Amino acid sequence: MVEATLHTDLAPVDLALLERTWSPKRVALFNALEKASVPRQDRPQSLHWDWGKKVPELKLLEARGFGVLCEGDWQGAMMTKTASSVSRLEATRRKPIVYVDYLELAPWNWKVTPLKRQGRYGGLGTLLFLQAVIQSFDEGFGGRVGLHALPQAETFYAGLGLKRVAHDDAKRLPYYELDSQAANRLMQHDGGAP
Amino acid sequence: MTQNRTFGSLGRDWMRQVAAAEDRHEAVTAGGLASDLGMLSHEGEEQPRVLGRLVEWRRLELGMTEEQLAAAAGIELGELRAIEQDDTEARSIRVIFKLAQSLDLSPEKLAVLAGLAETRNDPALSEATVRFAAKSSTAKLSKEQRRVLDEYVKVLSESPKGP
Repeated sequence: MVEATLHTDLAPVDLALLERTWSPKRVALFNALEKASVPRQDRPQSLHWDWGKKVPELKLLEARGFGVLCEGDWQGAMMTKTASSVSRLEATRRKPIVYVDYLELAPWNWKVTPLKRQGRYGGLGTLLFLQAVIQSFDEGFGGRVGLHALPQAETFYAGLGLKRVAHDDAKRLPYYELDSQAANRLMQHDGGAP
Repeated sequence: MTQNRTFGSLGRDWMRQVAAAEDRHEAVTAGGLASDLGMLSHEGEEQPRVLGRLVEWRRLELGMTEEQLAAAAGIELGELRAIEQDDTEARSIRVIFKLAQSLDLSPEKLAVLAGLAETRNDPALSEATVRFAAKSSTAKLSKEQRRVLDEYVKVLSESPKGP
């Protein structure tokens, strides 16, 4: 097991910096999938993301960023927003939440089933998501967290206790939300048994 | 970027269990921001295939196999297949221009479709693209599809107008 550190002051534009090391790995993975003739629907759904092309738009974004650094490389990152993000669950409708605008792992940490490839470091997605839950408690939002999951990530968030609220036609992704009860259950596991 | 917290305090056993639990899932990615910035173009239904289907149909119309077109254009077979599957990673000016020449299409307009060139005020191209995207939902080249393709190719073959 290796030591990892959490950084809590990434800016959205830092995604372009992460991409400098992640992008060549994306390309290498794309080539490996291409060589193995893996159908497009079976490929990682964020394979083609290129934050480097979005720098001007990223500069305008207001968000709080988290990143996990290990062995000199960024292993995963998350961006959260609080302003203008509200609950879509019936019981807490319009109450404030922390919204996870972005959560992604370095390509070498992806599980790529068609290539029988496991990620190098595990558990990073859970660790990052827990930071959003902690932020929600710190902000007085009761642990409520919302996000749009890529289809391949739906079972992960459902497993953490998030409820699928609806498919969001505007975002073209399913919207999930963690309520306070589920957040408390999740935080009881922080440092204990998951 | 400031170091804030180490994960050592969480406990090794817990970390191992979290890693094992997470490993059962295919991905952990949240994509709200990517959606806002128009980066979801590969997730199937989000955006209609236009460039890939156009290249594939035009190739079929000209009676060429994938291998023949790749050889004629001087590109790798894998590059052509990736273009036809609308993988944006495979798109480059070099590949698009070579394909345009082999398919007798306007390189400039094909580059616009590939997202490699800025769109000039070209309502004819925009309208033709929308029509093509709406009607080209299957890969077999039927009589109707050939008509749709011919209509689109006519617009794509015209020289671009000045700004």
